[in-house]
Amino acid sequence: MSREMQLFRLCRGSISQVRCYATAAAAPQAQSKATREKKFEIYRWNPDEPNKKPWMQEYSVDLNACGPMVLDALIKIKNEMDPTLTFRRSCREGICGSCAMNIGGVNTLACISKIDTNVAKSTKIYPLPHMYVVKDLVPDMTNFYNQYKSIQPWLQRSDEKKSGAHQQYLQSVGDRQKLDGLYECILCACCSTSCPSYWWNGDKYLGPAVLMQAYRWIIDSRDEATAERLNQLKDPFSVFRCHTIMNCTRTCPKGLNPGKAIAEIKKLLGGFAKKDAPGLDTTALQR
Amino acid sequence: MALASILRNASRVQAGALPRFFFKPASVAVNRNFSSSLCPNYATFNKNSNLNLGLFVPHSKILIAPQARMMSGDHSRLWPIEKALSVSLLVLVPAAIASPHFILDNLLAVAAVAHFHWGLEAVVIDYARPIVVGNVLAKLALFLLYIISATTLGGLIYYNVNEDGIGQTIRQFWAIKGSGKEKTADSSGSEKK
Amino acid sequence: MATFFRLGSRQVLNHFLRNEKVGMLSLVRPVTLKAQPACPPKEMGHDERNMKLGRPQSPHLTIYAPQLTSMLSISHRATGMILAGYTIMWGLGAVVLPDSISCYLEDLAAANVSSILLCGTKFMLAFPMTYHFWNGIRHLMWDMGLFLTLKEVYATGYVMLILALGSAIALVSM
Repeated sequence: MSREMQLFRLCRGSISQVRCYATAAAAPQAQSKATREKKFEIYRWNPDEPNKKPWMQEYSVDLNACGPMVLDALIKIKNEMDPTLTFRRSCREGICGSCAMNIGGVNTLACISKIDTNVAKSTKIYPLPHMYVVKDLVPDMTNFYNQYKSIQPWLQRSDEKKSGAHQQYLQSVGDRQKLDGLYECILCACCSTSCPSYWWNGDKYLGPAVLMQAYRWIIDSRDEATAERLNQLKDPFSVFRCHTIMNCTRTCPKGLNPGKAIAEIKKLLGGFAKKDAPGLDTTALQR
Repeated sequence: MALASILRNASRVQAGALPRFFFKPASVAVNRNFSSSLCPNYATFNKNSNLNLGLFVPHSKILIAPQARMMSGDHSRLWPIEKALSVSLLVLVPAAIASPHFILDNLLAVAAVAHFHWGLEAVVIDYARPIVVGNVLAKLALFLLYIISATTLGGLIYYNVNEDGIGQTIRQFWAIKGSGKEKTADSSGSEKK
Repeated sequence: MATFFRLGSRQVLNHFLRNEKVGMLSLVRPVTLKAQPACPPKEMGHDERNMKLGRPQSPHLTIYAPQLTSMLSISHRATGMILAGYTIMWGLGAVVLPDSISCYLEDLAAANVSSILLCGTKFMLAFPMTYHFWNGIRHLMWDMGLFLTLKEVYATGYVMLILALGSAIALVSM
């Protein structure tokens, strides 16, 4: 190897080494600076030791060295203190819905939930309530996803062409506005798992998240399967376990209103309301 | 040789449960108790349900009439009736107490019993779940509720017919004055009989 | 494994050396593979499968923060159950009790019960009624699709509490 390369390999990293000496010298001084130690009590359960009952494990995080959100604290704990802590996360910006969990007694997304900076109190973190726990903060979402699948969350029309070029289906501005507040749902399951009715009858009651999506397709002016969609919901359990407790709207981290959507479904089912005719001729461009 | 025997037997091999896709023309039975198999994409559904989604088939018929549901009853017909009853109670309760009358008393009895029957039925269905109390106890609780409601209605109507009536009795009770209060003989609310 | 033992023996070695054309294949016993139809995974309900896996259920009532939404709702149910209890006792009592209810009321009036006790009893009868009444109106508004935003839920909740308490006190003082 050439002399230059040898020299390079020798000196590589020396600048950062010098920098480290500098910060190391400063470190003792930094430690004497005030740290804000916040206690987190986090629900743990290990499927590899299934007979050991779930327990609460306490961690102490220096808020001065941590991002502002609960997810930042969880990641810091996992990186620096306990790599076995298990939780779902992805986008870190409140749009994917992965990090939904119960923080301070309320269901929300960890990535957009600010840590309560009162260090005198500990923050309790639990998985989403009344769900089977896969590990630590990870719940089994299978039932929830299957319920979503069961409402057939796609556009259904009698004139769907099987192949060939499609023209868009027209929708008036007013009709499109009806979907606002419905389509933004990220299916994080915070609302459904905050609903006591879903706790007790989650096998047969669809829950606010899925019902709001059912409503989203029911009132879409381009959809023609309204009667069938409503028919599917007539039994005593799918919709009518909702007693308007309104925990769902209270807890939605995206500010949506599933409770209102369910009320509208009940009105449609009870014959007190009817779906409006589309504002525009939906198939005007097909001809 | 092994390969040869496999190929020979190939025609006898069944492919197991075929994935059931939504776009099949035939109606697909969907179960509310979702089977969570290890491969959710397998999309196998429990066959012991007869909940029919009434598949909306794009290229042929528009409507496939839904068949009998797994959960009994069409609650969507009952719900408006429950609400109408609640509204009627808003009127009946103050009316029966303010101006007692035989008809009002009986209307109140029927409406009140129906209202609490449906309310308690929701309570029983919510809390006495088969997975917690077992199938027998769940059905028994519901049955007991019917007995209690029927008995109460009978008792109230008997009371309306044979004794003073609900409204009048409430007024009578409310008129009772306790000791330690200055007895103002002409005070309001002491209309008796 | 049998092949190994076979290979180890001298006889086989000689056999092999003499019959080179046949080769190793002659030492292998032919085996037939039986193909079986694929078994679909056993279908189990969600609860059944998770209970079989021994998974715990995450806590709910014990950890969820009490909020106005859920507290007012459960109180509506509780007052409803209380009122149902009163009604049931009345219906049963009318049939079961030896004397007529008005006799008991006359006895009560004559007993000169302390007014505090009487007011307390009247309140226990009136408050569930007024709470359930005013919250019932709130529920009927919701069923019509009104007052369902979070702000309105909270506002109407506080208004309802004031009305319920106020009307109960008014009734008791009558």
